[in-house]
Amino acid sequence: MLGQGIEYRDASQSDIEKAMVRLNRLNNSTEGENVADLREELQEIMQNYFGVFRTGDFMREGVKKLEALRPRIGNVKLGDKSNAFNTARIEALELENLLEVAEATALSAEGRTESRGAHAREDFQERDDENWLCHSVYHPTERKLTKRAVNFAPKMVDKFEPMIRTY
Amino acid sequence: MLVSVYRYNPETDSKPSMQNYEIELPEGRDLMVLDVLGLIKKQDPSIAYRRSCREGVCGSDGMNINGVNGLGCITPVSVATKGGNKLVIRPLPGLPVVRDLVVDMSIFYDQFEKVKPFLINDTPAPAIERLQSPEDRAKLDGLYECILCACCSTNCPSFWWNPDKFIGPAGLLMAYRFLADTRDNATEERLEDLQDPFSVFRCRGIMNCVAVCPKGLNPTKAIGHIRHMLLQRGA
Repeated sequence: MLGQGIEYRDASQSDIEKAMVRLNRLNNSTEGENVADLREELQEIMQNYFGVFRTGDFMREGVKKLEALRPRIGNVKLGDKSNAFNTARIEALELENLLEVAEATALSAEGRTESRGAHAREDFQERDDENWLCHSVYHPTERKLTKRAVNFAPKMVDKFEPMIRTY
Repeated sequence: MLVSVYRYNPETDSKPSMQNYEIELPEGRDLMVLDVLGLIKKQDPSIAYRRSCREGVCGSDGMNINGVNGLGCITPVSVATKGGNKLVIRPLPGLPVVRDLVVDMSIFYDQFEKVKPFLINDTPAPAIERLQSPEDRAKLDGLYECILCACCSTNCPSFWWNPDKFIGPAGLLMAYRFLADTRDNATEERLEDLQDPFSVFRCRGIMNCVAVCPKGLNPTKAIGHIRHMLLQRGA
């Protein structure tokens, strides 16, 4: 059911190697910063620079802060190497994942030069259906933002014309 | 504040022990017990406990706090310590400890599975949904809200004694949730499954389950209803 209409492939040898490199680095880490401290810094950056009300200048500053955090998170130290229900290891892996999600959120928000719902920019206060009635797609390897059309062709009901919400 | 935590790592420890932490609590603010565990994990990442939603919805962080089972995330430190200055945190009693505060929930889930915790109705499904009057729906209040944190069953002496035969308060609450549901038509089959000396009748009305349920539910009352149904059926 879940796989319907989705093509997938098995993990390749290089995928597995990549994952193992990541895991082994943590398992062999002897120095580096604490997971909890870095996570708190990441939370603070996201809270302060990418809240609901946003401005471009501020967000660009936040992006720089995230960039500075990346090498530090890449060098994070795993404080518990046990193999029994090790939640410290999970939290370390999650921290790396959180940084990826944070960066995708940050660059997508910075790139979308309009306001829409909970994305309220003070420097672009109007909703802009002409340019931004689309999904934002973030490509992490190229650190690039592209657009993808929203499907407006419903099969069962008449389509609902998108419009500015004035309540 | 002095926080004493049950520690056990099967890889390195031959037996469990209590470890003391001195934790600086913020002034003028009442933390939840889970927040205190977070502060401990900051200085000692090796401590293991389950947590997820941190708002009493997921049921992951059931634990024994100063002798009382509860959810770490919605138990204020002031309530747990009753104004005292020592917090003692142990895993849920009666279940095998995997590590530190993490217990093996298999026995609990096995008992839960036995009551078939899902709607059974072999009549063809109507086009939209199976409707129910507001009165019939109200009968399920206090039954469906269980989050499976296991605070009740692990606080129940009958469950400690017969964890393999007595369904336990959480499972029986769910059993009655479907016995009471007008949309379910497997009542006979469900009662048949429960008709033995252990599944239901090991409940002695101790009400330890009611005393600790973080959602304020009343398994003993539900068990009373099942008992009544079973006795009526037998008579």
